[in-house]
Parts: sequence; C-alpha cells; structure tokens
Amino acid sequence: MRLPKPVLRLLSFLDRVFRILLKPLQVVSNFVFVTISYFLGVGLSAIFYRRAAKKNPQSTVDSYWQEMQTTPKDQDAWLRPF
Amino acid sequence: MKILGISCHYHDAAATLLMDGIVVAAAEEERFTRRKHDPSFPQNAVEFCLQQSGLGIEDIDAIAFYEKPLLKFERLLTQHVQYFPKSYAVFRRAIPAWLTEKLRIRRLFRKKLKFKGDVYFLEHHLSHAAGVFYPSPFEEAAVLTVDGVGEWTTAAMGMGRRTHLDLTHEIRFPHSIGLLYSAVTAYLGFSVNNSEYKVMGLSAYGNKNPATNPYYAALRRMIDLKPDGSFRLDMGFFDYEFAERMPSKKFCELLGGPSREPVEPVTARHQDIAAAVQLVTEEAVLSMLRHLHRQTNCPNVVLSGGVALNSVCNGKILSETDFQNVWIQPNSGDGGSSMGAALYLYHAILGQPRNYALRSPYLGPGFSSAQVESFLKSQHITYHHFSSQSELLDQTAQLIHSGKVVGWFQGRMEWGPRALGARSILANPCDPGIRDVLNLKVKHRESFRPFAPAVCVEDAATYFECDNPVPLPADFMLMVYPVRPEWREKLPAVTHVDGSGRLQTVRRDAHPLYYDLIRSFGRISGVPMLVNTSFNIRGEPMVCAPDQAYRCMMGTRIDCLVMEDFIIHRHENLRDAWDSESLAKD
Repeated sequence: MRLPKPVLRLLSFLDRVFRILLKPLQVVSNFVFVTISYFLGVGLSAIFYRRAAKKNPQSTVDSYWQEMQTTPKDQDAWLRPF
Repeated sequence: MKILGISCHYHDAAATLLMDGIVVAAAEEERFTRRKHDPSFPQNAVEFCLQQSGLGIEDIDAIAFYEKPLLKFERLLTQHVQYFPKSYAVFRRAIPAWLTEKLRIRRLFRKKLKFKGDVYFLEHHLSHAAGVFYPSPFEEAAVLTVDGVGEWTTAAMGMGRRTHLDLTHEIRFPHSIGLLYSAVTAYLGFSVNNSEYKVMGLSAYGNKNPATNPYYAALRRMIDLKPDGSFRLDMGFFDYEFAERMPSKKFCELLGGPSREPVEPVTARHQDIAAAVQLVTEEAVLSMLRHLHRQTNCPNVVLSGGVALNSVCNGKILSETDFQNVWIQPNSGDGGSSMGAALYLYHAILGQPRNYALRSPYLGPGFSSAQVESFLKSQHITYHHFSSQSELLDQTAQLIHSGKVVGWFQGRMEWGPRALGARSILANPCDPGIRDVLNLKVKHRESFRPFAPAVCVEDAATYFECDNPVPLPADFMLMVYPVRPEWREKLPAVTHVDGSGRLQTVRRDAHPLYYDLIRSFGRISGVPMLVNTSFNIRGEPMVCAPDQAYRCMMGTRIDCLVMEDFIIHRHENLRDAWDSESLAKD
C-alpha cells in the first residue's frame, strides 16, 4: 500500500527531526554510560588493585628485561584478537 | 598465496600486499587522504594494493593485522584502573572509539572491504620484528625492536633464523625509550608521533658532552639504565599513563621551566635538552645492542620500531657494537608493521620458505608518461616533452646546477617516511644559499633542520666517514655519518652544524634514472651529489599523484617539475599560484 504524499512528507520530516534530536541524545547517553562504567568498573577494580599492589612491593633487580613466552602457538591462536 | 597486511588505528595506517612471499605493493594511507600520519582504516591503501596487482578482495586468501587489539585494550584498562580517578577524562574520550571500531576489527574488514576470509592477529612487536627480519638480506640475524608502545611491549629482542622468528625478552609499558623521546619532543613544543626527527636534527646544535650538559644528568635521573640496556622510567616525571600530556610538572621543574610553546623561539637551552635526550637514547639503544650481541653472538642485526628511524643513533651501530652487518627497513615505524604482519603469517605461521629481500623501496603508486601527459593536457599546462632520457637528464642536471629547485616525480612512490628519489625535491649541494631557499620558500620549515645528500653508492666513502662497505640502510636514508672535513665547506647545503650528513646512497639497479641524474650532475659540477628532500610542504604528506606534485610546485618556490618524460616550468604556468606558507603547519 502506498501512503499519500502529505503523510510521506510528514514521515520524512519526523525522520529528520529525530535524527537531529538523537545525535545530542546519543552523546548524552554515551557520556552517562561511559561515566557509570568508569566509576563502577574501573573504580571498584582500582580498590582491589591498590590492595594487591601494597602486598607485592617492587624489588630492585639487575636487569629489567622480562622473558617472553616462546612456546609455539597453534594456528588458531593467531586468529584470536588476544 | 595472497596476503594483505594491515596496520591502523594508532598512527601511520598502511597496507601491504604479499603474493607468494613477494611484496608487490605497499603504501601508507596518508598519501591518499593527504592527512599526515593518518591513523584511519587504510581503505585507499588497500584499494591501491589490489589495483596494482589486478586483484579483487575475493582473491585475497588471508588478512594479517599488525596487533592484538584486545591485549592493547587490556593495557589501557589497566592504566585507567591504576590511575583512577585521574584517568577519567582520557577514558571518556577514548572508550567509545574502542567499543565501536577498534575492538571489532574482523567486522570492520567485513564491512569496509567485504572480506570474508581468515583474519590473523599478530602482536605489535612481532609485526615490527617480522617486518625487518624477513625482508632483510640475512638468513640469520639478531632482532631488536624499540618503539613507543604496542600492546604491552615497548622494546623486544630475539633471533631470526630462516623462517623462524622468536622474540625472547621484552621491556614493558610504561617504561619506554620511544615515549621518553616523545615526552621531550612535547616539552620542546613539537608534536608527538610526528616531530621526533626535528628533535634529532636540533640535537646537533646542543652540547653533546654528557659531562657538561646539565640536562643529560637531569634526564638520567628519570631513567634507571642497566648495563644490559634494560631500563625503567621514574613515572613521577611522566603523565602519559593517565593524561593526554606527556611530561609531568616534576619533569618541567627538573628541566628548569615550563614546556616551550610552538611559537616561541628555539634557544640554546632547548638545543641542549634535545642533545641530552639524543645522548640518553643512543646510550640505551647501543647498550641493548651490545647485550643482544653477547646473547646471540650473531654478526647480523636488524632493527625496527619508531626508534629505528633515529638515523644519528643508527650511524653508530657498527662502530660502537660488535655487529658486522645491520639492516633496517625503510618504513620501520608502525606503517611497516603491515608488511611484517603479512610476512610473519606467510613464513612463520604457514611455514612457507623465504624468497624475497627488500632492495627497492619503490612499492607505492606510479604513473605512466601517458597518464602524466593526459593530466597536463587536461589542465592546459605548458610543458616540454623529452623523448630521449639522456636529454631529460642533461636538461635537469643543468637546471639544478644553475641554482634551480627541481621537483622530481619519477616511477613508483617510496615506502616509508623518506623521499628516496621518486617524490623528491632536488637542488645543488654546493650552493650556499640553497638551504635558506628550501627552508624558507619551499618547505616553510624551521631553519635548524638539515637537508640530506644523495650520492651514488660508489662515491659515499669519498665524501663521508662511513662504514665500509656502506650498510644497506643508507639506501633508505637511515644512517647519519660525518662529512669528511675537507668537503664540509664545499657542501654547505647538506653539511649539518655538527659536520654530519644523513646520506642516501643510490644504487643503479634500484633507481637507474635517479642514479644517472646524479652522475649527469657530477659531470657538470664536479660533485656527483644532490640535495634530496621530500616533495611536500611542511605538515603535508609527500605528494603521491601528478596533480599534487603540480600544485605543490605552483604554490612554492620550486622552479620546475620533472615528471616522467616531461619538464614543467613554474614561470610558464603562473596562473595557479597559491600561498603555501599559509598552509604550512606542524
């Protein structure tokens, strides 16, 4: 069923209005989401991290080179982004 | 087998196409988008690679991505946890891009390239290492990678043997020589991940004596450097873990004042600071190399990562360590990792034998004489056509000898940040005034920055106190050597203030036309050498296509453009002049 022209025009107008309104809404929702994630996720982790860091103080060493894992990986491991 | 290597999302996005182990095309995205160090997805570079080889994306067997995005994300989250709540501002700005794009690489390849095959993810420093070991001329080599940071690693060393490549030891973030250099770059008022080479150029003016340069002692307080080259930074001096600025307040206090503003003049103090960071960097890198030699006892070494672009340090490798041979790829920064990722997949993961050594850096787009002529005609540009190559060379050599600045656009574009005779501005190295003309009227750049000499490889030892034989990385302008004292006054345009020169050695088999031009110029002037600087103005990427080259000439004091078989004089085409100085940026 084809809608009449005035209705199509109205829908197109509403579409444009929503797009204009949605952009700032998206920015605000991103801001809220990221802020909550930061204070809940990062903040709580920081408490545990600091406790653990106090228990394991850094010691002085002769070399700061750290050994890397050199055992061969299977092919699937290279397909993972981690 | 066809493999596409891709690097992007940090800086210098690039793509490389490997066909049966041979690199057939490679280019950085910035050359197409005209945005310097463009980090965005290298859509144009991929399209160029496919077009160059006559392939479609459906012909590609696999894509190799140059890092493991989730490991990098883990590092970022750890930083934020460690520095909570100071890291909030950076977290808020960075996280949306990670969630929408940077973590969804496979989806990105499907969406932007319509690629449905396998995507392999390599570690950042492994890509660096592979990008320098596999295309090197060595069957076996010790490998050192040093840059700002990848996922966690900031420096790594190991060994490559035929198709095997193992990185055995690493230094981890936040301790990074590359980031120390960048912090000083920021402190000196230059842009990070862009202007580190300016600091290297500036360092020649400063006090190079560690005993009397006070800033050397100050910088050594920031870094605990062990005899084996491993190091740890005192993070109280740096803010880059949680903020967008690099040096901390304590850093500024130790160096005796706030950061230099970009508009402020460069003083002797800034020169000494630049010299100090160069000294510390050389000390660290050369110590690492000596340790690596003791560990591997291999005569060959390959170097990669952004720090491997430090040509002043590179020039000291063979004289100050026990290595006998060195190789560095022309694009040893992040762009070059796209090549490394593809090569590692082909050789190490898929077990294919090595059959390629990178001798020619001309892997980018090229334009035929017909294409150039079609452009010139379409724009109604006045030009001169030369059907004989020797006439073209004689005419060009005459122009350069008469003091003209020549834009040189020949063949396929270079791979990497240096102009190597495909997209170069050439001039007479014996002309004492040419340096100022190039700095102030063509490139619009700081007067302290030196220009590079291009010399035929057989003549290098005549003019430079270089290693013998001249190491291959000198072909890619990656080694700085002292100009012989008797030539310094005769070569004012290419002799830096400390008597050094960042030479490019030219081999006839790599670029016959460029080599013959240097020889033609030598016959006229008695000195077979040219000033070679990149074909761009400050802040722009090097030109890639004929229209960009023509625009660059018309907007600057470049006198003529030698483009394939054509010479175009600016004075014959004055109607398109534009103000390039107003466009010059950092």
